[in-house]
Amino acid sequence: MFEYLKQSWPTLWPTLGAIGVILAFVPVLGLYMTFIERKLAAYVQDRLGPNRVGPFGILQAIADAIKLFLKEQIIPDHVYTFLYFIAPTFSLMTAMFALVVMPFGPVPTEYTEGFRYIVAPGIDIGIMMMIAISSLSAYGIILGGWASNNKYSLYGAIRSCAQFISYEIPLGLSIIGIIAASGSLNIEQIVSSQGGAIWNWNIFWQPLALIVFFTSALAETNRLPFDLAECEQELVGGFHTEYGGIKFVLFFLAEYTHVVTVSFLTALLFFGGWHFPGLTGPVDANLGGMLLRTFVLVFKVTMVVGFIMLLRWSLPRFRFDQLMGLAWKGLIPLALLNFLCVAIVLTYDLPKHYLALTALFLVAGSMVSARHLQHTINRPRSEGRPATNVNLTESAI
Amino acid sequence: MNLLNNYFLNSAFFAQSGTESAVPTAVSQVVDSAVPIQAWTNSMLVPIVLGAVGYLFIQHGVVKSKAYFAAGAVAVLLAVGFALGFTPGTFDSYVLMAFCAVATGGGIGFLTAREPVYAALGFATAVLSVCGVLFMQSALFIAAATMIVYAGATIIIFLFVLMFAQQTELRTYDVQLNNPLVAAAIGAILLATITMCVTKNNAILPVRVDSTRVMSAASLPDSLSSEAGKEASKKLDAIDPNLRYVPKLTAGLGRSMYTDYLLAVELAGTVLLVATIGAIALAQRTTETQS
Amino acid sequence: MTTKKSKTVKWGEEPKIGWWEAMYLPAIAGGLATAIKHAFSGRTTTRQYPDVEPEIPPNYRGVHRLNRDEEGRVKCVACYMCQTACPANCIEIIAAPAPKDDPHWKDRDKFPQTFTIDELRCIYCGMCEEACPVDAIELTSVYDLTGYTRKELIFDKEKLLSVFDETSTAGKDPVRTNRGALGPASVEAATASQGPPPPGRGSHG
Repeated sequence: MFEYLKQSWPTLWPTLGAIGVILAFVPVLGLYMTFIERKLAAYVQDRLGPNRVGPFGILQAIADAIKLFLKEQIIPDHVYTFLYFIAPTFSLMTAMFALVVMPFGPVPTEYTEGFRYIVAPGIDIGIMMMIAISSLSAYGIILGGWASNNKYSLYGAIRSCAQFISYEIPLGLSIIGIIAASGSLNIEQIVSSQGGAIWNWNIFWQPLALIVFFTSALAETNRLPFDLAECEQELVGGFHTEYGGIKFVLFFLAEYTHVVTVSFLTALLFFGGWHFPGLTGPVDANLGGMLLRTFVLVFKVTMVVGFIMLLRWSLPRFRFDQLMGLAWKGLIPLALLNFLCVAIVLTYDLPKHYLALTALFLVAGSMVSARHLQHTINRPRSEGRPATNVNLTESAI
Repeated sequence: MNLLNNYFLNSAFFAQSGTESAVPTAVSQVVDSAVPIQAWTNSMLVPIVLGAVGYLFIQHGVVKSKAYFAAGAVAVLLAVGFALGFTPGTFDSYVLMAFCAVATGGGIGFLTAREPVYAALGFATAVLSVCGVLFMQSALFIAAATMIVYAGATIIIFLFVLMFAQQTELRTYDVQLNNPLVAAAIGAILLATITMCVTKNNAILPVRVDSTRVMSAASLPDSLSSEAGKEASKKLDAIDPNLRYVPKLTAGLGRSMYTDYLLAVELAGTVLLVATIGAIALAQRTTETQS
Repeated sequence: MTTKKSKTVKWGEEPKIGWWEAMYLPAIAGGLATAIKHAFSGRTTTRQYPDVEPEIPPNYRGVHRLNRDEEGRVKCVACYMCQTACPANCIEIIAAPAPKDDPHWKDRDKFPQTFTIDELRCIYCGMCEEACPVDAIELTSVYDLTGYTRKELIFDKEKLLSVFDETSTAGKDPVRTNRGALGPASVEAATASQGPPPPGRGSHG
């Protein structure tokens, strides 16, 4: 055992270091994202936001953390205790586990010694691994909702079940186009295929994939406008109604970790990762270049996070049937069409311009054909639904 | 740890792949059915013991007492440990054994849980642990696919349905088996078959697990038809004609699926399509008749 | 039960989503534009309350006070009008005959021996104020009433008089318009003894 450690130390320490970075940054990041979100929400709503603790209220996050950690541990009488405790832990665990294959800085495609900005580099199926692990994040919510033994929590859990299963499909399908175009499932290689000029970024070639991916990823994070699992007006708090203190923090942290994951994925898959026009040369040329690239990546991620937060204060929540309609009637066909176009372009070795052209047509066409969604949206809730007991519960979802 | 180990080995691979000859130094031990199957080995005791223990458990329905359950679980774990305990004691093998044990525990939980939701969670535990076992064997794609399809979608749908059909009281058909003896016998026979297939020289599967596999032909960069691939298979033939060339992990799997097993893949896809259409048709008809 | 559309009831229609809105993306962009515009406008409507006190209108109905007359006596004549008028039953008066020997009290028959108001029970409707024939009880613009116990917030005569002292020295006399004259009722009453009563006075009897 000790021999093993000693022997593999040169490859072990960068990995342990990367794990340390993730373990250290994710909670702090989560805490500060709550602060930034509150500030941003305040500015959008012409308010000031938290400003009492520290200059501009920047210590508010820490104060919140202390408060939540020191809260009394309340275990309601009616919960299934074991699952009740497992659920938030599992939630955060899956959220953090997804970051294992996530490059948070420039990762060379060839092996190099030393710190590598990723926990598990060279994983052949990086992006698929990520989807696999995030597909598990539904468990935390489902278990939490079920273990709470409370009808609101249960409805939240059931909603999130249906939502997760539905939105995983467009999420995966939208990435397939990118994978096919880059020729690899490996995130590092997808990023390195976008190097060079700015128009190598995938967003310019597959904007429709970006729209589908971002929408479904947002649904996977359980945030507005897709937070039907916890919407206050209908379900009190949804799956976390019965949770307080540190257990609630874990759920909360998991949600923000998901936001970080989604932002990183968006930046890496569609916005060129650590590439930026003018930043040329090998990735691991020198420390300055590496830091600059890390900054570029983090900047892009921050932009996406800000966009997600702004979206929260711009869009109203979907109704449940609208949510399902969007996934099954809107996003899945669009993702399939996008993949079809990419496959045609790749199979017949057409020039890349065709890809952009078809993507433009697809975006325009999908916007025009949004008309067929109109019927779904304008349809009153009760229409076409038989009045049976089964459907009473169904309509309550 | 095996992932780290893989990386360590991969790094050597990276260092190699720059050069022309990407022929592995350590050779894969994936062998084409050259293992002589013995009808009776000592490890055959495991399924028999497990079958008997299983029958003991399920003859009166689900497990009634916690002490009984704990004793049974310990017995099963001991059996698994007995079976796996002969593996050389590297860190990887211990992790692998832990995954195996958790998978077994999940399976037992699946079979013995009183409430359907707990049974589904036991199933989830078993599936996830099997994913862990696959990870430890460097079968990343299969592990991820299992995670997405089974743990991420199928079991969640199970849970969805179970939560809807939540019962306040357990019915007899939930806790009582019609033919516990037959069930236990079938389970034991299945287990015996698997054991027989994976047994070689009185040893069970994990001994054959080879951590050099990523390093070996399986991690070659190119397809069989490429220069490097041809060269590799030639060298492999020279070493042992039974050794089989395995293309690089995911790419090779995909190529294999859409060439060697095209018919099977298409048939499976058709079955799924038929099932989808059937489900839609069923759902549609219900709405029509009721309205 | 059928829902027949009645002419007296105005029925709202769910807004139809048109072609432009059904495209989603333009509508989302519009919403984002609004959000961003507000985020960077720098305008805030937040009031920094404990640091910056809000301006309370002088006819606000806050904590009660018991007025003093020009001689410093409590103006109340213990007529029980306010106690009778109070819809929340929060006023409790015990009257006592005015000390006959004291020349200071010779123009009074009665005075309130105790006068307590339960500020937590009060609904701040202002009925007591309107009922009072001598403008002895008034609601001031003091709004930040706090206390650690319920007992603390049952104001007795001294406390109510001290509220008068505080508010009148701070120049925060309540302004009422219903007496026909704008200005503090107590001041008006003080001047009324020198001149004729303003019109509308006494109709409240």
